[in-house]
Amino acid sequence: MKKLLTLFLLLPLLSFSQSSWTNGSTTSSGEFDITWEYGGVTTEWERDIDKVVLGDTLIMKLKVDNIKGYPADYLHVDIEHNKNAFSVVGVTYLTGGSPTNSTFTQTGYKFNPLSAHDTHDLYNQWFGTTGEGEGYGSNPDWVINHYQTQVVDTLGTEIDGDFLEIKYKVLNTDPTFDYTNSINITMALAQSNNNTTGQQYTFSAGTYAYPYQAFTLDPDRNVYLSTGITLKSTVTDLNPNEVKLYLYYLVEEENTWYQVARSNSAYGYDPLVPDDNMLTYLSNEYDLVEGVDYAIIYHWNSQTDYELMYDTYIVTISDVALLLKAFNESGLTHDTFNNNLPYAIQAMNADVNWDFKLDTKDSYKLLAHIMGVEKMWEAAPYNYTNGNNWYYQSLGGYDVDDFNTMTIGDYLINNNRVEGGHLAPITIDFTATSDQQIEHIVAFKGDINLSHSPTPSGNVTAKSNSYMAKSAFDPFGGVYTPENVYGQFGTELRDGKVVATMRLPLETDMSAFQVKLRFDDTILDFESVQLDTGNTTTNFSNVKGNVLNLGGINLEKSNIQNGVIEIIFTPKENITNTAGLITIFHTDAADMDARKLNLYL
Amino acid sequence: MSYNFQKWYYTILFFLFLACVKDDVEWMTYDPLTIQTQLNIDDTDGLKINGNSITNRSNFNIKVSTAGNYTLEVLDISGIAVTRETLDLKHGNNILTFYTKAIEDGDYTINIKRDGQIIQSTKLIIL
Repeated sequence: MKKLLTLFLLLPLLSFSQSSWTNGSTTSSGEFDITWEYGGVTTEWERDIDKVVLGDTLIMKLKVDNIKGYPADYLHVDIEHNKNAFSVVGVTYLTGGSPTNSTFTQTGYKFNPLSAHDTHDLYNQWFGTTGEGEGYGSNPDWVINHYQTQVVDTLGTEIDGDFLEIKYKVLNTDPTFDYTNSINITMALAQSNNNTTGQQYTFSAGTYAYPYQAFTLDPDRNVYLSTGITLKSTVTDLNPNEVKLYLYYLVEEENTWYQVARSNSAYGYDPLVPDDNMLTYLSNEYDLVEGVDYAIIYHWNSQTDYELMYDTYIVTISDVALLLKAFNESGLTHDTFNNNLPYAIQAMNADVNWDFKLDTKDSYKLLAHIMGVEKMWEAAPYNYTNGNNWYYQSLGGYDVDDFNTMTIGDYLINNNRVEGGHLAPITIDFTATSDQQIEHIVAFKGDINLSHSPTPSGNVTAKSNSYMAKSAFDPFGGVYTPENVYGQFGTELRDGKVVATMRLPLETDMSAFQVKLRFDDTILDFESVQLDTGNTTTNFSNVKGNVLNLGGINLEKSNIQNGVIEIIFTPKENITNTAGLITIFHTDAADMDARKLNLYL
Repeated sequence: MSYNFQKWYYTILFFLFLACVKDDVEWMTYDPLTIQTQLNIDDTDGLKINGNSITNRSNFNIKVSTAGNYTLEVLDISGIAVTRETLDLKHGNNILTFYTKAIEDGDYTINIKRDGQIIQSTKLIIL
């Protein structure tokens, strides 16, 4: 999984070059072959060679294959490397027994293969003379290391298989630096003093570099996050059993977000389920890369559950009343919003049609949602998840700094958009050396009075175009406690009908109200609603299943009159009383200042 | 046997059968007489529900010593009324039905009030 994610993540970042081996001979000599083997990096033995980054230490093995079969007891190999690319930080001789090993280094030289012999013919490159080509020459950028092993025991120890382990630290931060063939086997001498003839045998007929002779590195220059991340959500009313989290990254060339991880074990992804404190841990194995934009999004398990919560408790008539009051006060000026919607998040929540403006299109859409005419999330401008994301228009995430400092002026005038509402960008500290916590805000589109969205805790007057000085605002300046108001509600049998009667409390001037009732549709058929709320109140009611949603809002700056509502049902069977047949499961109301009221009936 | 003899014979036999059947068989659950027996209240006033955890519907008895208008209200666990019914009760036992399909599962309190004062109260679990 990790490799897959890494591949997707790096595609836009990788150049077309890659780490590679330069072949020595194309065929084995049939006597004695020497080659390279990559063994990972010191911090991760299984690290793919294309994932080696600057500062890593490569583990390179020099292996020999004694094909001739005469027991090799002496081997001498020269290896050069570009000192700007690598430094040797460790050498281990791997031949068993108790061989005599020796190493020496010559700095400032580079081998130029003898032209009279093949480059991979390591024996003849060793025994050649200057008359046959170039040989070693001065070069300040290169270093020669001479590695020699001689077996001196009588235990039958042979030089075969793993011969050397050399650790090379990857140097250079110049992005144009060329690592081509920057580690190279130049020459070698292999001998056997215990062959079948009883005389010394030199593998002169063929000590080849086969199959690999030189190494070219293309280090991954990305900076990966080395720490884990705890994603912390600040929001109310999110149930961790219902909510999952997605992490996305942006491919700028495609202007498309792709998924890094999500919480859906059914597909084999690592779980990112927020816990009770809305914390989600993301380990560093996701290989997050510096310079890439990341964002999170929340996913609801159940559309039904989310609709119930969103429609019933979060976006209600008092939100509409507050937005209409802002419009009605003095038109669509920002001073109006200053007085009524002091926090930028309120404006962002109020912009329910996603056009980065606040106007009557928003209030109409919001009212239509409240009345059950139109669902706000049915027409989505953003849809990154193939329509499975039921809340994409209604649940917004925001970077916590943006959330706390952004002003309505930023949002509406400077058009400094916070791309919340669907994807919440997060800022990751790639210099962190220990696990970090990244906080983001989740707010609900339409929740204009912030009844279920967090209130900014920071300095909301920040930035130059401040239209929302906190001191100018009273209701939300601190903890805003809605006033409790008490009306009446009762059911009765009247002339063979079941009648539910509500009387709104009118001692507190009320500009809007909303009540949701549930009725036993196995016993009752809904017949009608009669709302007596005065001539200037716009009323609404609709039935969906066994739920009746009714309410009224006064658009004429006057309060609701009379406040008597009668709901009439026809019983489907003979009943003698009505206890439990009709229940209230949610109420909402607003006063003339569009402040939310706790309406009890 | 003549036809008339058979008619009377089987008619008498049927009534004998009915006389022998138990009063509380299930198919007579809603017989008011039976419910009164089940929800008998010894005191002059009281409230008794057929079971303290119910699904769909159940019967209950409100026994009052004074006939008149009463209110039955159902409060959720936070004390908020979810429904309220105005009842015109007669003196003595009043066998009524409590419907629960429109009520969310949970713990509830049922109050019987007269003139705004609680005169009877009981707890109820709705499943």
